[in-house]
Amino acid sequence: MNFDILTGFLLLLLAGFYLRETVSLTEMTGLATAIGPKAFPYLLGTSMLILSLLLLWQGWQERPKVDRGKAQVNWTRSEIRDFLVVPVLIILYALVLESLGYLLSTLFFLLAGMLCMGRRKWTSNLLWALWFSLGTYFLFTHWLDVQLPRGPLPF
Amino acid sequence: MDIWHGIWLGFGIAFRPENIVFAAVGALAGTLIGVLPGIGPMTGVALLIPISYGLDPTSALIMMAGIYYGAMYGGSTTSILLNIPGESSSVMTCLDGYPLAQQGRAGPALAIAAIGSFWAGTLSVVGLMFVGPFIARLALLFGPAEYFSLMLFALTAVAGFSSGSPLKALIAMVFGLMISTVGEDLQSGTARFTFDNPKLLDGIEFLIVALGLFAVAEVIASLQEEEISGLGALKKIGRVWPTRDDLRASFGAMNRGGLVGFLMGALPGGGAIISSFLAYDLEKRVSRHPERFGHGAIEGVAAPEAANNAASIGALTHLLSLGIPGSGTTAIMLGAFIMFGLRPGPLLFRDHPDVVWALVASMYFGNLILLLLNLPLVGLFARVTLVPRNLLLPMVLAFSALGVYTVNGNVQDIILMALLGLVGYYFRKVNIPLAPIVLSVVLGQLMEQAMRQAMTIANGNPGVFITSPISGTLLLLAVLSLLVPLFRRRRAGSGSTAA
Repeated sequence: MNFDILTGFLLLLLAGFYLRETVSLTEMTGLATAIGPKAFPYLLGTSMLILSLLLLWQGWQERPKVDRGKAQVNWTRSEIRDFLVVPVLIILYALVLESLGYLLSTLFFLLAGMLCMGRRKWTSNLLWALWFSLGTYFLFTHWLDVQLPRGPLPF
Repeated sequence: MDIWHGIWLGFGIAFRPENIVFAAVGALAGTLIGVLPGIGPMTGVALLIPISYGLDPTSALIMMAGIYYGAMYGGSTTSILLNIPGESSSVMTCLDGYPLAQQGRAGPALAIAAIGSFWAGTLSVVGLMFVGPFIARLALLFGPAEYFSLMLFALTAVAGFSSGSPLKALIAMVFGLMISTVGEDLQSGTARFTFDNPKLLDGIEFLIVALGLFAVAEVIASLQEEEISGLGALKKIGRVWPTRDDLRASFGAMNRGGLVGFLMGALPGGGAIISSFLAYDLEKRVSRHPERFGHGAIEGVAAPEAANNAASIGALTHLLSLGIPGSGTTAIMLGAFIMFGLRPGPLLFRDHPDVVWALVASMYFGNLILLLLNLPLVGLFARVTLVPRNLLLPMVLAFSALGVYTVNGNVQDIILMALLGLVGYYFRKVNIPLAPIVLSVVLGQLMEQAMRQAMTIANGNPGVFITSPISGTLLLLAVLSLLVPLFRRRRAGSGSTAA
């Protein structure tokens, strides 16, 4: 697959969406400014539109090279796995952070992360995860005075 | 306030015990980050921003500057020991550093890299002291139109000088500017691109973008790389102290590299990568034995290391005096400044001379601390490269999430960071550079405000950007900086079949 064409297409969609949102902005009248809140976004949306078309054109031009495997970008299976696993883990972490509290959710997140990345030294994993969660928790709450969700734990 | 008075004031603040500690902590943390596999200096500085929240701004900035030049230095350790440049600016260090390590002279190579960084760094700080205030005074003449054009030039220069396709760099730039428009418009109060989500009214914090695009995407990318085994390299460090001959051979290279680095670093977009390349090339040209380069010439380590350290301080010069970052890392530092309620630029020199001069003064002994830390600790840092990825990377992710959460205490920000990580990884994969995105996220709002103010002053006449001589010149430079790579490519292309 030619990734310049795919990227160009995705950016074209983004530009279109962005411009549509810009058009629908409600502009307040009577302000003593020459240009309102729409002008800069219009400029950006139009620029992105032009740039994405240029990228599409460039990708189209390079099609023969792609057929010979030159401009090809490969996605391996393990890469797709990592590409999905990392964000999913982070999003799960975000979802439980406030109910479970920082200490527990970070502990689980680290254990799950190490496991997903193929580290199976259970005791060492647990010790590192504990050390990191406790260390950062006390660094932020006690030394830096940042409030972190406590969760069901008493401290 | 004259320069000498400023220096006196700065040293007074910088030499407070707590600030010395912060500079040392920053330099040490930065070096560790530079050495750690899979974490570049941009991720490093962004990761450590949340730690500085509770600190006094001056101390926080002193620490952050320490992280910055520490990370620049740390990158050289892995280049020399493992032939893996920790960041792109230490690519040139590999060329002679790794052969030296293979000859059993890794110790002297690391020491020369440290001494070169120290010496060039110190020279550049002297340069910064004299050039910075001068530029700041000049920049006081700038109105909104000039500022808009200056920022546009800074962005296009980064796009033009980036190693890949200028088209993709421009896409990155516009993408970043688009992100910067999310949130409530400062002038009219209009909610833009917030999709009725009240949490988006304040806009997307630059730290979320930086950590998503760099930290998260970098973690995904390093999972794909093969685990390095540096055990063999550890034995090759040998004696650390360079011989008198090494020092004599490198001294000229350090001075020349430092000068090249400072001058290039002060140009927007020039930065550390190009300057280390130019300094290496220059050394090869002036050398009486150019054939030794690439086979373990100690000057080949001294010159690029001196240059990239000097360039990082050169880049700080216009960050402080103009408020314009020239690289991804300085963009992240600008974001941090703004978070502390300080706006770098000519007014910073006038209104907060204590902060500016303390930061500058701290760099003198910051570089010294770096040297004192690095020479005895080289063995330790080399060991850090062996930290297994599957232990380190989950912690990097957890720390990024924590950092993002501490900004607003909002879990939506963590989710947004994860999604930006996907975008960042995809962009890396298709060679869209990430640094211009962060740069434009930081500059976007300032740019839009400057543009609108300029238009209002000129009664809506867009000609104001061209008729003002300073602004017109800067716009011309902006256009030229985009055209240069096209010519360069055509020339390079005419020699080979690939156009």
